[in-house]
Amino acid sequence: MFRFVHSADWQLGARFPRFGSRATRLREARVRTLGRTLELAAGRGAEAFLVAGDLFEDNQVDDALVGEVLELFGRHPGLPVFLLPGNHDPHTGPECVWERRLFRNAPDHVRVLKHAQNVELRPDVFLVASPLLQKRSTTDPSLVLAGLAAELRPDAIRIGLTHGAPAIVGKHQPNDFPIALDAASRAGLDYLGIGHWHNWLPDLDGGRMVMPGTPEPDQFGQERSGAVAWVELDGRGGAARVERLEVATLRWVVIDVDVSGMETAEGVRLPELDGLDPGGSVVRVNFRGTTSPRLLSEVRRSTEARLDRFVAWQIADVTRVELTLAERTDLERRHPMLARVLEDLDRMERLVTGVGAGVERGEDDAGLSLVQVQEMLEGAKIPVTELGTGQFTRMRQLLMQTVQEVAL
Amino acid sequence: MELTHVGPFGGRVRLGPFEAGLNVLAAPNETGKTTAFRAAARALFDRHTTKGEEIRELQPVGTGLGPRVAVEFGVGVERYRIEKTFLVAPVSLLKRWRDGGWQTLADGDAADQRVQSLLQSTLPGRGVTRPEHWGMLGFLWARQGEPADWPVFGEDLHGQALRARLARVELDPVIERVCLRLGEMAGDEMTLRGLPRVGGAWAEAQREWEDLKSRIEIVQKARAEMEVAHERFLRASEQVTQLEKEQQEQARVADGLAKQIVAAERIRAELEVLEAALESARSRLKRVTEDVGLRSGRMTESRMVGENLVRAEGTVKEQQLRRDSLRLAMEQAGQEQRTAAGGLRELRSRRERIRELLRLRRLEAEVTVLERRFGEAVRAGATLASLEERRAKVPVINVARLRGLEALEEALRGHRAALQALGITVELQPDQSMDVEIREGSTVVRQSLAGGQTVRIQRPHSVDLMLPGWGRVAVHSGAKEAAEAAERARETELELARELEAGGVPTVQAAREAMAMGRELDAEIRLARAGLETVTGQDRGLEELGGERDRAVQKRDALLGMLAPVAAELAMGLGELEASEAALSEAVPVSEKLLGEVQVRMEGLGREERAATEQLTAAERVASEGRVRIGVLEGQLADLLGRYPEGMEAALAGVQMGFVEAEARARTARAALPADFEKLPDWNRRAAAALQQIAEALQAQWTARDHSRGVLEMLGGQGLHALETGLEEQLEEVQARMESVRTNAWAARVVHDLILRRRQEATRAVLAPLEDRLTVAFGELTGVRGRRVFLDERLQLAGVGVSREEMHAFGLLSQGAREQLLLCLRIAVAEELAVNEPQVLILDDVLVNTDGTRQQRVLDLLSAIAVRLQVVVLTCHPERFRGAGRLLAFSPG
Repeated sequence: MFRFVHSADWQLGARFPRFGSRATRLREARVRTLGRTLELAAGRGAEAFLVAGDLFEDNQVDDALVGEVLELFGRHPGLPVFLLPGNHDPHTGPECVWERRLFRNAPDHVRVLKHAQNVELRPDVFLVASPLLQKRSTTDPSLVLAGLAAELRPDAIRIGLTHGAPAIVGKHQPNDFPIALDAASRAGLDYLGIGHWHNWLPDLDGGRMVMPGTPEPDQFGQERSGAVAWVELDGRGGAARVERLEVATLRWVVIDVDVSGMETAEGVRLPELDGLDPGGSVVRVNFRGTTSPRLLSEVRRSTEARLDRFVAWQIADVTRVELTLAERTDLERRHPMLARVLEDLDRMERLVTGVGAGVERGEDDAGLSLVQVQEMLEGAKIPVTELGTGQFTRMRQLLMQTVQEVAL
Repeated sequence: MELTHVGPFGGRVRLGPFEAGLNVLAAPNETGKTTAFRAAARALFDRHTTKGEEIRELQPVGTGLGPRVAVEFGVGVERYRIEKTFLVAPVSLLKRWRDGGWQTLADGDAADQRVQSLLQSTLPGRGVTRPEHWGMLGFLWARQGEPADWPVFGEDLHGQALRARLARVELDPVIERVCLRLGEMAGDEMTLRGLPRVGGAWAEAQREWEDLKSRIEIVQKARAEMEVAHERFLRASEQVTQLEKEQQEQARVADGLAKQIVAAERIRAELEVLEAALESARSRLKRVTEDVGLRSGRMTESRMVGENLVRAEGTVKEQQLRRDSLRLAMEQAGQEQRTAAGGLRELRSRRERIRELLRLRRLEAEVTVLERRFGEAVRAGATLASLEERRAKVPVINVARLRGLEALEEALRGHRAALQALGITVELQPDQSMDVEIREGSTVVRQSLAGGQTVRIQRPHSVDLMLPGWGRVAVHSGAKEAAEAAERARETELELARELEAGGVPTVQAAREAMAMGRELDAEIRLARAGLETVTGQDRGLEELGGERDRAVQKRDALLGMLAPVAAELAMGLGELEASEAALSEAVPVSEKLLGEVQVRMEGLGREERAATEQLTAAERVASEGRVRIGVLEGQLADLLGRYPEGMEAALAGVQMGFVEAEARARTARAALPADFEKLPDWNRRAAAALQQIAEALQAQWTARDHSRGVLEMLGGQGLHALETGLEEQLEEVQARMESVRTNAWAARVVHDLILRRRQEATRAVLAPLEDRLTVAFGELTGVRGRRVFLDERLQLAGVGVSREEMHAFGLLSQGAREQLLLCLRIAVAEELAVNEPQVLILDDVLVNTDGTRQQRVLDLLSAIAVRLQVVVLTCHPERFRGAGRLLAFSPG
């Protein structure tokens, strides 16, 4: 029996601009996951640690990261590591990460598969590898595997390794290294480990072809990522036993909150947060529904305070600011002109964005016309195209907050 | 008002009470009207501790007394009294009327503040107050000598409040503060023109954003450079691979060529030897073959020359016989030729003599004819001359002249007929025949009259009759027309006479006859001339015909003398001569033909004789040459046979065998040479040059590839992705911050602008009633209807006109019109405010530029508003307000 770990798409050095300075934490988490996975593989007695492409996010990652990764590999000299260049880190030439001095001086058990080749893992087990040499191609990288495998002795176990998109109709791009869905059978392989997509996909080609996905999720809603494949092969022609090993450091959690009908900020309790590990979670809170500016402002402030302890977080505010009947009545009574201004904002939002509950302009109404809106915005050099629902929400919030502020 | 130690008032004076309605304080200049009211204003609005110049001006001139002022006033239903002493021991005391007396309400600063609150006035930071601090009184007090301007409503709270109050706009301090705050928030981040404000968070974030963006661009540029270097590296690598492969292939080709060249050189040396042997064999074969051919040719030639010699000798004999025979025939033909020539000459001579005799006879006949024609011509000429003589005697009357004469005659007849019609007609009917004499001038015409018959005598104007047995009867007419007709008849008659004389005829009838005779003679003359021309010939005269006759005679005589015919010849008739000439003419051609035939035969014989002579000569030459050639050929054959003692056939067989063997050896050697062995050296040189070029190109590509590799290794190790990632994430943060600040600034600006817009809309909405009041007041004051007064959104007077678009701007109006408009505005504002609370309007010597007519209207207007307002008029022209309102006067305290 031959046992090994098949991983792919580590995307070390990945970019997370939407998280700003907290993106560093996400990158660090990926390296930690690699270290933990290596320990897990070594602990389970794996005979090889395969990376089916995209170990790095880019060929131009910095040397510090490369050194850190090699140091992790170096901690397990008994675990042979085979690194296949993928479309993010293809072996393009002297500038690629695999040609760095660090890799040239890498430990002996770390091997970069720079060209299509057969590699003896054990006298009766061979790795048949087809790396990527460019970022895009319409050629199936598994095509060369059949020729390589044919060179091996008949009873040797053949483990294929390449990188590309399974050629599932409607789900892949033509220039995204399409891999035939029967690539393993076609090449006479006992197992074909591939990488590219970031979700777990274990049942291709009758279970002979496996896509483990990224070991560390990199976006919200990525339900089937965060794992590597533990593979066991008994012999030539036998079925592979594939086990999903959960290795992710971070959970990416989405919490939807409908603020409609809430009367106080305390109404937004977010109990989901209580069950999360702040050091191991990336959280996004989606605020939906309608609420008053004051309440929304309070909810946002309190939520931000609670999210701040997490590794990284986002708040997606798609609410609409709406005064309660009491608030609107009070405003109408105390400051009727400001009530008209709020109506102006509604109308302006509808004119500019095409959405919103703008008020119809009556004959005696001094409501805004599109021309007036344009003149007003041009005077302030505010591009109409830059105004969205968020900006109008902010305007209403600002108005109400200012009223509260000056009324005190 | 109570004033003590104020201006001209040394002691205490009182003014008032003022009543509702119109109050007039009429007094001469410098009696203290204006000073009293200014002092009242100081008491109402200034701090009692104020020591400004304006306060000191209240002091009586030359004294250090503290001015003391007390003013009673009402607010709502309350009555108050403020008493202030300025400069010296300042005092402020506010009292309220209660239970029939004044009760102190506050004193000192508290009193000042309380009054300020009651009157909604404000205080300056320091110094005395100005009208803009006086609340509504600042607007409703028209001060003497101040510019005819309406105070500007400031943007401060007081100004806004006033404006809102006047225009009934909602007075909402919260909104004003909100607007102010939003304006500050927007202004902190952006300029009025929408640009980020320097020093603001937005501008700072934008600066950071641009900095990060430029740094990212640098990194991206480096990545792009790496891409370019990568492409270059790939191209160079590909070129190196291709060139190396090409170099190997070219080296293999060059090596093969070198081996081929060595082998070919060896074969070519052998071939040269074999080619030389072959050439030698070919020469020998050629020489023997030529000798065999030479022998054969000479033997054939010798045989042919012998045969030709025999034929030539036979020809010589044959041609000698033929030449002799021809010479004999030529002598016989010459004799015949001479005989025929003599006969022909004789015949020709005789024929010429007969022809000359015939010509003589013809000339004689011609002379005879010409003499006859000449005689006829002479006669015809005499006839023609006679006719022409007769013609000359006949008057020349042509058709035109005849028609002219006939016309005159006809006219004369007409005149005469008219004359007769106009003249006198006398009818005579004698009982018996008788003769009467009719006198016409000196002419007497006798006319016989038959008895019983009527004779009518007509004359133009008189009839003079001698009647036998009775005597003379003269009848005269004096008619004018008859006289004119007679005159015209006479003139016509004279003209006819002139014309007849010119034509040489006596009468018109004679003219007709002369013209007829002339025509007849002309025809005869033409006929005679034609006859003459027939004889003489056309266009020839008698002289020409005579000349021709004379020349014919001369010719005949000359020929006769030349021929001198004998008698027999002269006796021969013309027919005989012509027959003889015809016979000779036939004989001459026959003789000529005979002579020609003899000559032809002679020429043929001559040609044959010459040909026979030539053939003979040629045959003799051929025979001679043949004999010489036979001798030469026999000698040559003997020499040739002598060179081949073994026999010529045996020698030929030997050299043929040798040639075939040499040729077979050379062919074998040539086949062993490569097909293009001659091009091999060129190919070899080209292959060497190609190798050199490939080596050079390879070196260049190695260099390029290594250079690109170095660049790639250098750039690849910089971690550009990591750099870019860090910068992008920073950029995202800065951008989020910038957008947040900008969103806030935009939100503040938009909401601020919307509030301003709403406020302006509200103000504009309430302008109309105020404008209505103002328009009515101005119309009443000026007496001019149809003009409307317009205000702007800040409640400033905009102008006057039929519409806002066509109005006259306030600043361009006359001083008087501006005064009146301002008065109207004050009235309108006061009335508007008086709806809620009592108002006082103080007019201190305004309308100084208003004429008398309008002054009456001013009084009308003031009287009309006095039912709603308290109006105080200060004037130094009491006559203008005489009878209007209540008169006020200062009274001692």
